[in-house]
Amino acid sequence: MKCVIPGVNIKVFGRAIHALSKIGEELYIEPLAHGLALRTVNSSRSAYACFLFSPTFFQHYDDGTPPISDQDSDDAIRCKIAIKSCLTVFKSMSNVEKTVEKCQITLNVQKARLVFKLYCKHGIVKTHNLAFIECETLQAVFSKDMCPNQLTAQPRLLCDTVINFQSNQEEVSLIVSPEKITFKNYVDDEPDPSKVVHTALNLDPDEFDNCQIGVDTDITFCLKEFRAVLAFAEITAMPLNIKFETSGRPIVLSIDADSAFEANFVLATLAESHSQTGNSSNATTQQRTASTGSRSYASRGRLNRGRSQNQSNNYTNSNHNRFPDRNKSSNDADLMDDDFDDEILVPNIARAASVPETNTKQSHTGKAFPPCSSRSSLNTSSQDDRPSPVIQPTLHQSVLEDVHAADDDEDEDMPVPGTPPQKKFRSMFFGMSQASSAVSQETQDQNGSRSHRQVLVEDTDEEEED
Amino acid sequence: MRFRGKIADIGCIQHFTRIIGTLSKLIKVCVLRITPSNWYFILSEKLVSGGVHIWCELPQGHFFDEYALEGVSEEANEIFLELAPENLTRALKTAQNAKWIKIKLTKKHSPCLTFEVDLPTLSSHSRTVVHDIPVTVIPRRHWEDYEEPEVPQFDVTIAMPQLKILKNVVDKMKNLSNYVILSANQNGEMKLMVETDMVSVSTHFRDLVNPVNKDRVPSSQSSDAPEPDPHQFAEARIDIRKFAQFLTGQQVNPTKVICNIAKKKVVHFFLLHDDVSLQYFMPVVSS
Amino acid sequence: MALLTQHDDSENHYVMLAKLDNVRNVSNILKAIHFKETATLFASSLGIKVTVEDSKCVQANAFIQEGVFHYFNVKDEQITFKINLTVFLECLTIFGSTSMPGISTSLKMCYAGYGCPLVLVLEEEGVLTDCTIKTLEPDEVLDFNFCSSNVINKVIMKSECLKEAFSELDMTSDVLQILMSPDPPYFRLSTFGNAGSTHSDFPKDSDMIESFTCTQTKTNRYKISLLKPSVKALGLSTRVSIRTDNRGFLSLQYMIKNEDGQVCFVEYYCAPDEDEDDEES
Repeated sequence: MKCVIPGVNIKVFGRAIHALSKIGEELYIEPLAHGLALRTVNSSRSAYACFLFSPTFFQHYDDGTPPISDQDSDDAIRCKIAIKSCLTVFKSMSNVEKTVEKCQITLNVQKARLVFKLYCKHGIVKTHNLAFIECETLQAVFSKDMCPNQLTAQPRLLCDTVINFQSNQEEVSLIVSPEKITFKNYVDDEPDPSKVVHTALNLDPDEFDNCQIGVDTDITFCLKEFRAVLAFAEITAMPLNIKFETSGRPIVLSIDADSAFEANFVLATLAESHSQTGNSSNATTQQRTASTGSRSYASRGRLNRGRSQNQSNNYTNSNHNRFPDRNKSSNDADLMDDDFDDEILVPNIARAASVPETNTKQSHTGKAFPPCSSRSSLNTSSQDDRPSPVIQPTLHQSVLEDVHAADDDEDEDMPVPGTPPQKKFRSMFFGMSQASSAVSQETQDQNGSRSHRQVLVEDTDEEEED
Repeated sequence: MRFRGKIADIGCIQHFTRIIGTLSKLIKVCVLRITPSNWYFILSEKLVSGGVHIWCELPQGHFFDEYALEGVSEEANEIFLELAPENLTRALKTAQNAKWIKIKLTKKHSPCLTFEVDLPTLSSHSRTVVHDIPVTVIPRRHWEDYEEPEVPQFDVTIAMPQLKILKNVVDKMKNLSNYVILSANQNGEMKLMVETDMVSVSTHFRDLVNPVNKDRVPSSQSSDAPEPDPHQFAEARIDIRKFAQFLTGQQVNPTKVICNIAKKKVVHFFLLHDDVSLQYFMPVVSS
Repeated sequence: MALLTQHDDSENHYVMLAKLDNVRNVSNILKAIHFKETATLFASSLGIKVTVEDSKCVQANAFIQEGVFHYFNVKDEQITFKINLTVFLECLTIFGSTSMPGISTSLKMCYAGYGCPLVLVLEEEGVLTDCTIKTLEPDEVLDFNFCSSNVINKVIMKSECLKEAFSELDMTSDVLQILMSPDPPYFRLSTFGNAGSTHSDFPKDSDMIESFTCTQTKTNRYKISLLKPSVKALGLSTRVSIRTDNRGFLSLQYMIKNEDGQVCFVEYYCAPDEDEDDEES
């Protein structure tokens, strides 16, 4: 493979490497006929990024396939490399943008080196010979088109939004309805949510280039990764497309620069079913019961929506939010209402700390239900049964494993209370929690033909294999 | 107990931010005392080791366009809250071009000081960000812990030289030693001195003003000691890191900075800017 | 300021007395060689030389000629003492590290002889600081015995283009390899780190290269940790000369213009790495 990036596009390429480095540690490089694909996935499989630079992005592009197409030659030109190594080439972007006139990238298979040659001003040439290892392809399958919720925004709007959150804020929640788009910092239940600053910002749908909300929802995803996406989007000055469904389903962020390049970032969102009580089976029943009633609840007038949204927000943020006797003033109400709303009586504070938790789930599930879907959002098996618009699980065997596991023991799929947030992000590629992903790995390995690290499979035809 | 205030002038918002910024560089946790006329930020030496005591007083009329307070009771029309000033600084970060900010005492999941900021936007839409900052309400019975510190009799009262120069010098001196000897006299002179086995460095400031300080007992009223020589220096050995922190954190250019030294006891810095005062007490460390 | 320009009788006993209006003309140069705690100072009627060494493999020298001072007097033929360079620099920069436009800080340096401390008096805007720094018994400094007649290859270039290459050196590499040749690639800097190898090639006809005299193709390796500190001197300089001799010893000479436009020099000498291997990986 050999390609040359012209000076004008070096900025985008270098920044793409920087964005990829904030997502994963290994860069998968695959030269294809229709362009150079750069992909990465994070270690917990909860974030994936893919850049495709089309041949028109380059001054010269040769994907390395011989003129007579030979199926076996596939194996030679897929490699992965530590992203840190690539970063050394583009370490100081300000210097790179000022001095590099063109960049040549060659894959030297015999020496197992990916060679970056930067032709700089004054005749200076910098060559980086980076070691790579051959590997199989990394690919996630996701469909953006079937997502009921779509937002398109100028990166500036989103940058101005996220700057209101602390730089060490791990996760952010996006709460949407056709009338309002809200960003909130996500506060974990541990150690103490009442000691943390809660920040919320509302955006008007008109502020977006496009805003289509088919399903009112509340999703939580990694802010650090989101910021990395925004940092890249900002330099392209192109609109960012955001597609998502409901909590637990991944959010897809993409930039489409017509013929030059395409960037897709897929981030897992927090699954709604994180249990705080040990009494999970009870909770599940409660949820199921709640579902039928709440659907109509969700479709009632504005006030109800506001209230239930608030309740669901509180749930997402912390179970400790809930006071049994609290029935007025939500966060929204504070914003709209200038009168004194909250009166604090000193004695109550001590009492408020111990809050019963059982009634939280009912109110929460009320919000999360898409009016049109017939599934129960908390039944993990069902989401694997129907054709998923988003990331498919790995092998069909493991899908079956999932289903059985889910049927027998739904509760075990719910992450253990008090675990750090990352574990609650369902691995997008396995459709189940971290704990059980180990099981499916073993299953994969036992079936010799699938022992290589293929993260995903698209072909549902392969169900014949098991 | 209720509080609601609104700051609508951009200059006031920025000034307010700088004051809070100064405080957040000095202290992690402090007490905010809200009275009908003032906001006080207090760090009490009883609570914090190292003995630094801070008393910052803001006349609320200087900042707030709207101000409504209902204290703990009618006779005690005040509210005492414990909070982390850094949280306020972060909330104010994007407020520097805001149209207004509203501050309210609320009860979300727990008592909060809620900051609402009306952010500027290019479009006609308004955009508000809401920060719920957790606070701890301090019950009435503990209020006496947060009284204005007693000011001891000082030996010397002197107006400080330009803080910028002081800051540069102290920053360098702190790389040489942990303690600095700050001394001044009633003749407009101030000295800073550090000394180690390897090096001794002393910086001399001259032509400073000695303002009249009513807390300095005039010699005629004290015991039979003769009038002290104005050239005689009163010395105080203080922790250089804390001193550097105090100097570095200043985001407001004060119009007046007074230094009072009660030798062997305490050094008192009094900064004044537009009616906002900050007092910083540092204990003298024995050698 | 008047205080320092006058020369009163009390100063006669000093063996070395130097005064200048802008202390940064001394401190900036010394910062360029500050990679160890201690330095040796040599003073003669020609000026001051400060030397820093490391591992008996690298030596840096900063020259501040007497013309930089507006008063310079050294009584003995040569004065030598060792001093803590870190402390010396803290004192020289006591009024701050960055320069403020229009404000200059004056310096008076006094030394009364063997066993006496180095006394510095600095003044800025009417504020006076005096520093008394203990001096130490000087150690012998290395003589790299680098002479022009043994130089095999020499390149003089604008510092600008080397700055980036030096500041981005892959520190996971043990060595910095320098190739100089009359043939392409002419002048090449290479590192061999964890990620792989990196080469920076400078063609002899580049407009960044002012002079190129290479007689033989030679590749030498130097411990990167020893050369990395030279990036400070590089950053201050406008031009740099790079020479290697028949033993593979490296001489880097940096031309630095101070704030008053005067030219001072800093030089680095470095011995080649012992496990030299001419194979390029």
